[in-house]
Amino acid sequence: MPGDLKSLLEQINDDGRARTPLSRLNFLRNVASDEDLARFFSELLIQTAEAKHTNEWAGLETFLEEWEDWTLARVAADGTFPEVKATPWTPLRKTVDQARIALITSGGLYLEGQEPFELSNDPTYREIPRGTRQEHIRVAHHGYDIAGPLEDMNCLLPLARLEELEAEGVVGSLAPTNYGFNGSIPEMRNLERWPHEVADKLRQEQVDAVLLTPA
Amino acid sequence: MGVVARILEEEGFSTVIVVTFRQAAEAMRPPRAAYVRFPIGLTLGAPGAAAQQRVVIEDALGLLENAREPGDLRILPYQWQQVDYEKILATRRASRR
Repeated sequence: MPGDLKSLLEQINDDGRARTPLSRLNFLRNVASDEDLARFFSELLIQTAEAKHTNEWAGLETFLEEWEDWTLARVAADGTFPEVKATPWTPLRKTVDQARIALITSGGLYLEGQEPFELSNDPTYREIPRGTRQEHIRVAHHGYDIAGPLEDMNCLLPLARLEELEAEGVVGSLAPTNYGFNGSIPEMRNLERWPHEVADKLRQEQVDAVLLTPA
Repeated sequence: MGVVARILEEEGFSTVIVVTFRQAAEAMRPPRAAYVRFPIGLTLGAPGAAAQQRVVIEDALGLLENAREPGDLRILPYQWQQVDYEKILATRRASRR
């Protein structure tokens, strides 16, 4: 029964063993029809057998990447992105090795002792100072596997990497204050206010440029 | 996050965003973006993979200087962990000297 393929994907997701390798395909269960899933699984079996038979695995890799792209394109098409006008532009008026860089992640990172984020539509942000230690990082987010930043914040909030780059003179400096929020915000008005407030704080700390890392 | 990038850019900051979800960046057209085909949530690299994180960050920061026009979206070529990131960093260090 093709109808069972969706629950098979749910089971695979709940199993959790291949969470990271499957992360780009995980939304397949939300966007694919029964016919799409039947096509995917039958083609997967054929491609896998073919790869083993010929010991040529590149085709299987291409197949999986095409389905990742297909899946994420469907997610994007279903998503309600706001209408955007012309893209704003502020040229960096100095070189990166003279610039002060701040970090902002939407991966739901905050500090032990701070209020955790709501899992959806939270219109707030948290300040995360440079020098923050890994054991003080907490994460609240439902859209991805938070085990990554709980083990090493630098996958999303690279304080340690920027401190290294600063020490080596590759960047001017890392800002004293950096920021986390939870990017699961379907209602756009909840997202449009705080960046202006953060902009004031960035100006106070003489920040030139911002590196943004969505989960 | 594209919305945040656009607001901060309007506020007078240069921004660059690293994305694993290319189609979202194509829809939102943030000022400067670098795309990596990495697992969702491991935007800069694997936990503990300092060299991998560093290579992606350097490429993103490079866009602050060399992005050509608003909405510049670069496709980074890295295949998750099948890349010798240490070697890339060593080459870059040598060329900086």
